Amino acid sequence: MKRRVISIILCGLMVTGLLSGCGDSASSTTTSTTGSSGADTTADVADSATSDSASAESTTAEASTSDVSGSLTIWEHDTAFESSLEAVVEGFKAKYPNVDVEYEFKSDDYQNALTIAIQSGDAPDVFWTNGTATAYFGEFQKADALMDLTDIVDTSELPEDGLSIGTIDGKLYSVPWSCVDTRACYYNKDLFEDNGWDVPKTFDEFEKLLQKEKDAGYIPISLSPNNAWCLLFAFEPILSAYDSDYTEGLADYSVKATDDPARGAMNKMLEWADKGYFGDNYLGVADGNAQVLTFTSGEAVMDIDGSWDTNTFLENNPNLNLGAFQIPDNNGKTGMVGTLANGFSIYKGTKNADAATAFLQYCATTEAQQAWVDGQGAVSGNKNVKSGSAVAEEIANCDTMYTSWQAVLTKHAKDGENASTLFENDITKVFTGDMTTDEFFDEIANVMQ
Amino acid sequence: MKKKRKKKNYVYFILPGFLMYTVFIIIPIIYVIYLSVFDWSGLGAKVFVGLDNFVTLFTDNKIGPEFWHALLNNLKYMLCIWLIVTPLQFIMAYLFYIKIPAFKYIKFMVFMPYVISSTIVSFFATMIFNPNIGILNDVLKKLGLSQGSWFGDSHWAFAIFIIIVIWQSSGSGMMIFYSNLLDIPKEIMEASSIDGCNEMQRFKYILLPLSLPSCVSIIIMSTIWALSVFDLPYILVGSTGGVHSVLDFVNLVFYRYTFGSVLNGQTNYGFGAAISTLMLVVIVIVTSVQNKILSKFEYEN
Repeated sequence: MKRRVISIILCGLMVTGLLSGCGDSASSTTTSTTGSSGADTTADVADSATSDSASAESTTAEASTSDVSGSLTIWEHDTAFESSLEAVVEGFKAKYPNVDVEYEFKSDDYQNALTIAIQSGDAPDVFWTNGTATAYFGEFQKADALMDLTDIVDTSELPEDGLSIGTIDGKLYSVPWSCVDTRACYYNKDLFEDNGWDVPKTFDEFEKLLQKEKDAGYIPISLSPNNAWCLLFAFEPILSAYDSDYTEGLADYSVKATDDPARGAMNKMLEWADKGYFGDNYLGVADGNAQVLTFTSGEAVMDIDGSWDTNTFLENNPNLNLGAFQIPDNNGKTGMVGTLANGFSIYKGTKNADAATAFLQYCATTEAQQAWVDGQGAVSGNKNVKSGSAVAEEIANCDTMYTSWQAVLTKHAKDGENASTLFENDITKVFTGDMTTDEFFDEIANVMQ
Repeated sequence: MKKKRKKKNYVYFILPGFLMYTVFIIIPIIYVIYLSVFDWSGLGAKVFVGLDNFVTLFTDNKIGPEFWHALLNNLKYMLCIWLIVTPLQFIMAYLFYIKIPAFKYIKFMVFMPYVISSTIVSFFATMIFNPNIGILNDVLKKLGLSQGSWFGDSHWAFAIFIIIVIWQSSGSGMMIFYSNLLDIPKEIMEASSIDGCNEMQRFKYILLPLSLPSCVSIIIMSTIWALSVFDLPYILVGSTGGVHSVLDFVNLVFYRYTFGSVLNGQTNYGFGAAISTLMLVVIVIVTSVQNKILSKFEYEN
């Protein structure tokens, strides 16, 4: 009898030891921080708060700020947005001091982590999505994971086009950000000055510039062919310069995504690869980070990349004299290939509905939108919000705005098919020589309307 | 009466571990096998599709060849481990056994990389082998030699991968062989030198056969590991599997098709479960065949 009791107690101790050893081993690539104060950004937010934006919301909010309490968990998908999120959370906490805010960045694993969290019923209160540009947004809505924001959030301060990315069937499910997610050709101003190069005014000048840069011993354009998105963010601006009329036609699908100009633009990129304009050993550049580092370390003169990376370049190398331009077509016309950025949604099953609604309402104010755009150094798509940096002004200095080629793939694929996944899996094969341009475009054409 | 009591006592000790094993390992495996006959994106309803997932895996024009190529890569990697890495580990253990100069220091240096997480090792490898800003190309440029694109070159990528694996994992196998060699009773060694055995003969006829038990366990473990490698290639070349898919392994194919990406994302858990189930069957078959063949070499006391 005694022996049995002793063995049971010992087993219990063993189990306790096991469990305490097992716990907390789950955190992987997430950086989780509670809202920490960034002194400069709070100053900016305070300044813009005292300026214009006298909306009805701020007065009613001030009247009830002490009523809203609770805790909020926010998930964002990329640490590139950390400074923006910090600034917005600071501004929110200034208005609603009784709410605890915690945010996490899930990076590579974001969509998977979010899906699992929603499916297990344990989702964060507020999370980022890329709206209707992705397949999973619609699935979340069908699975009743998104709170309908149509009547709860006042979006009068936001631009109309931005709202469409978060709208399904006329109902609003997420609050967009006023950033235009665009691409630009970033360049190293110091290298341009030292070598007497000028920002090109036509596409031919751009090509000649590439040869001059190569002759001077630099890598003209930094590129990673092993990541579909790096290739896309270079392809779209080059396409818009190769054939601007075609690119304009993408907006209303009056041209097909796989027509000859698109093929021609890709073949042009392959031609440049053969001439060594991406570097002789560019196949070894593993991913977007390596691409950025090649540019910020001064090995490459230019980098055609996404506008959200402006601050990343400056953080990487504060001494980099950064400039940007849009690649012109042969008539000198320039444009931004972009989509308005999407923002946060509320999880329908959240236990902090008041706090979450208050947060999204705050996000929809011009003050928060300005803070977000400033944190990115981004281009603004909202007339009430200034662009976030000098480089952003240079990026926005163009004639028109184009639709993203990849957005067309998502919007106009045949029912039940996913052209965007096909593009993502196969575009890298075109650049490593495993697939020809025509095979790639034909395969996409098969699943498009 | 007393004998029964003793039996029950040790059951209590086994129970916690057994429960944990069942809950965290057996039940998820059964759930994955169950998922493999469904089409499920992670949200919403599961649609029963029977063996469709497996049929797609084997016969689809696009996915089929990718999968077979990846499986071939896994087998290639397995052969490299059997024929290159394991003999290297044994030779190193033997050198330490015969106490070459500075053997303690070299043993420590060989074992150190094993302590570092493979994620960190592969991350630093991407930094060293980066063609534009990496150290290797920098050094080669200064020496006036030609630089390469390393992981971008399909001839070099697999070789460099094996080199990284050798660097990192020689430590573990080497330690197992070394402790096995140390376990060989001194009497046998003395008897052999009395009988006039020279070094080569001692190596061939005594040390090698007596090391086979640890060889068996190392081979079985490294086979399972070779068939399920993921972290090293994923960080080195991303989920696409590298240029010409030279570093495309089955688990990378699984990752690609099961989880989407942040910006686009089409998840298909049912299909991923089918790949996992298939690999489970493959590993079980390979391991049991190995067990049968290699059990001849086990210690027979």
